[in-house]
Amino acid sequence: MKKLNNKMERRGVSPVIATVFLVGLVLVIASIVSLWMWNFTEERVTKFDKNVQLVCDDIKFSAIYSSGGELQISNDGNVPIYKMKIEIFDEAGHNTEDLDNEYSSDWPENGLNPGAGFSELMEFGNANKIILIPVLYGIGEAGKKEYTCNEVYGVEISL
Amino acid sequence: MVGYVLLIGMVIVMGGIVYAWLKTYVPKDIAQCPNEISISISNVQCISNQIKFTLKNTGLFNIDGYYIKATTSEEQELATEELKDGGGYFGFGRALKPNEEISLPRIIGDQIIDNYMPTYVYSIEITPMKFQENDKGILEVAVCGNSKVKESIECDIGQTLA
Repeated sequence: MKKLNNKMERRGVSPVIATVFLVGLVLVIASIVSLWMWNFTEERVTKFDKNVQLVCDDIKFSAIYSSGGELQISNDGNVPIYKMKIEIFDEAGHNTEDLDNEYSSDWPENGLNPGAGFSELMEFGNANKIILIPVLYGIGEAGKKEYTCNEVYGVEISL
Repeated sequence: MVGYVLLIGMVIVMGGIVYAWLKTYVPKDIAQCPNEISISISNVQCISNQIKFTLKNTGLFNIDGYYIKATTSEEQELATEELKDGGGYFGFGRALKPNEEISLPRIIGDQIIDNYMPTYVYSIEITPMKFQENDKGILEVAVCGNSKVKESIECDIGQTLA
């Protein structure tokens, strides 16, 4: 019996090595999981030192589509609107386009500054409704990055 | 002992990462105009290629300048044509105090200070602006979009229509 006890005492690893081993294992697993999870997270974009999602709340603009086919936008808030997405609804469904790429040639290069206005003649075919969704210019991990605000910050225009 | 050091180190690093991430979600106030800002516009006339008008501060706070935009066609509902070369605002130089009024454009000697270049104008829209301190104590431009005023006018370059 005494012989067996002695044998068992000699076999185990020391508590220090066991702890280091355990912690190391946890660290390795944690880094693998976090690297995997990183792909699912959205890149953090900031503007005015706060998350750009919060800046969307401060945007204030008015928009009208006149009977003559002119889209008129006025930036009445304190946040520059870098670009505008346009969601077009017709009987077949809806699709989202960039206003400056697809419809406008006059959209200001640096965006619509506070207090500024924009107007241009545009045609939307059979569309019955459009939603203008602001796009902001923020700073991401790799430099300047565009951020499209949620649709709730958009302005809906019935055609 | 090694385990404790590693564990505490890990917690500190994780805490730092979470702090940096959450910090950006803390709402910060950007410069906003007080609700009690108000302005009125009168005596709007077209003389030569200048639009002349009088602004009066009818609110409770000083106003530091204004944005001016125009509608250039009858159908236009929103004023989008900026009447300042290059965009931006005209500053008053000295703030316009409550109940104070100013005739624009100002002419000092032979020089027109606020220089408009209208084409064909149906109405003008004035949006007041104010310098407001942000949470870092830095003065920022605050556009008072809720206090804008609009006045109808009809003018063509070189002649007065109304």
